[in-house]
Amino acid sequence: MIGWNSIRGRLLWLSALWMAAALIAAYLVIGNVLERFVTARFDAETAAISDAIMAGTEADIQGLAQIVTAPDDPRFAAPLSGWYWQIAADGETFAKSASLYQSELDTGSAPAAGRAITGPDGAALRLLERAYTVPGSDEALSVAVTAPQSEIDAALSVVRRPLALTLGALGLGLGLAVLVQVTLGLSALKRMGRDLRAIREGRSDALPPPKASELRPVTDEINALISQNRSQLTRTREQIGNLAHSLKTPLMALQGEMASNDPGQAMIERMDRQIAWHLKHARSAGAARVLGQRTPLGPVVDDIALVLRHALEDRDITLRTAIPAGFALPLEQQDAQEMLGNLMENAAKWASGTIAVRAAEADGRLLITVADDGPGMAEADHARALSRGMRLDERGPGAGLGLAIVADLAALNGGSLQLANDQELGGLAAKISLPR
Amino acid sequence: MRCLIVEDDPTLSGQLVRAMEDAGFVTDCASDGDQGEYLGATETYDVAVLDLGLPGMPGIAVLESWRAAGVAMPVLILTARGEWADKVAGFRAGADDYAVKPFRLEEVVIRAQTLVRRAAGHAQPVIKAGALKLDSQLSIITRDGLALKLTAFEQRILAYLIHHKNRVVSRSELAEHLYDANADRDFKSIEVVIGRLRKKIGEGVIETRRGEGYVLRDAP
Repeated sequence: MIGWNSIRGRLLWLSALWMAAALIAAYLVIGNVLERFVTARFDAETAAISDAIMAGTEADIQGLAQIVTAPDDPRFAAPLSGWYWQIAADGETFAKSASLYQSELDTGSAPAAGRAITGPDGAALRLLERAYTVPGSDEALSVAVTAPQSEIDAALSVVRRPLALTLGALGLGLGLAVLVQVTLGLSALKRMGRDLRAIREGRSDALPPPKASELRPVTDEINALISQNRSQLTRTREQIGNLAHSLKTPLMALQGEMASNDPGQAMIERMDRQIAWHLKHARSAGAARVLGQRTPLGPVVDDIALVLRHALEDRDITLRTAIPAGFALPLEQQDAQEMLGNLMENAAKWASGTIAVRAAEADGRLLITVADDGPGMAEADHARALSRGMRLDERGPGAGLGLAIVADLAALNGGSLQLANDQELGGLAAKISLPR
Repeated sequence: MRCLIVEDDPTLSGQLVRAMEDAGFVTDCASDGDQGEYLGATETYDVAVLDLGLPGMPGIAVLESWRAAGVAMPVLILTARGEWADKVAGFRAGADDYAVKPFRLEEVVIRAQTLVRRAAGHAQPVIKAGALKLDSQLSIITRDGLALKLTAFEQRILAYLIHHKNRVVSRSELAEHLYDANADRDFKSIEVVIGRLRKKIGEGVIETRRGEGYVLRDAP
């Protein structure tokens, strides 16, 4: 049921009501015109008959009116046919049609044209009554001619039915036109809805210019909103980066000023790790998500491999990738690089000869696995390794926040990070699951 | 070996200079992007240490400008953010390695040495020229396992020749990699030092090609 709450419903209901009112009015007006036309025809006929009767009336030698030639129309001969005539002189009926049989017409008081009266059998009649005189007689004569209302009605219904059918068909046609018009008119809105969904799902980064010029202000505003959101995030990132730079450089200098065995070195290291943790956390959690991001995975892996190439070459580690063509993540490029970078760096650190990046789509989710052939990790440590700021490997390089950051970013994007032992390579497998 | 350090923080810059010079590098410093870009594009260095957060021209732009001009020296970038997007941007611009602040100075020195060695085509940290061995990380040159006693200048010349062994190294090339930008380049003293080196490592290892330069052969 199309309700009042939809634009489509309102347009359809309103136009249906308007059309119904207009069509009914048209039916009434045209019906009225036709009715007058049909009754005028009958009136003309009764007038012609009365003319003939008046012409056939003469005065006799006493000066009394006589009907000399009565109309020989067979309708006036059939009893109670509804077609009657009757002549009265000074109120006294002296001649009438055979169809009246024994009875008389009760014509009422004043002579009138087109008055409705009741016939002797109770049927409705249309009466034409005229007063006249004949030469040689001083009697006031009046002639009354009637036609049966039923015949008038029959004639009317013959023209009214096609009128009603025509107007009905017109209404149906107009209704269809309105339906098509409303549907076409609103399809631009529907399309905009689809385009917006494409942005949310990351298949597009701005609304295309609409065909309907009325929607242009709306799409322009939405696009402006999206780009404002994007630039705000960029600014936030830049500020966080500047903060990092302004804190870390003096810290760095301080570290260089101290002897390498100075107990202060440990403090500096702790400060650095805390700064790193809070900055990364602020960056991943504080930033608003940008709408409509999609980053192809292949190039990201290539970029990370470029950064890690010396580390991979020096230790003779092979990178194997199994990424379907066109595989893309619903993430910003920065987030994708951060996740893959941390996982691949970690894998490269522990691998003895091979790391693998695999991507697949299953049950409407995207699965990205980064695995190595290193020593792996005990099951019990898997959950602990993901907890915030935890660092199982205190000796190795890197901030040790890598896995926690990847888990944070995955969660922020509606996904998750899990650790497992890799079936194929035997080492650790980090598995990211993301919505499509 | 000559090293260009582009870092705006004077304290950190000074520490880097000290650490690199201790490891046998000759260093030039630039404190902003424009100066760094100019030095890197006009002088010859064996390695550059480039901070990405610079006043003036940003570090990435400096690096891109060098690479666009055909400057092939290995570049180590320093970044405070440690975000992968920054590392990727740096490597795309042509960086060879990165260090995230704060780092240990020794780590930067080792990475710079590794870059120099790799750029000369040596995969291993110890470069052999017959009986001569250069440990590029410790900056020690040995002959038959015994460390040679060398002055800093001798060490620099011999290390450069070992990095580029079996290839003619012209005197001007040698001078470009031995002196900093402001020093007077003196071919005579190079010849004198080569003579002293021949005495220390034995004749026949460093050949003189008249009009071309020097070639270091595997020592017997």
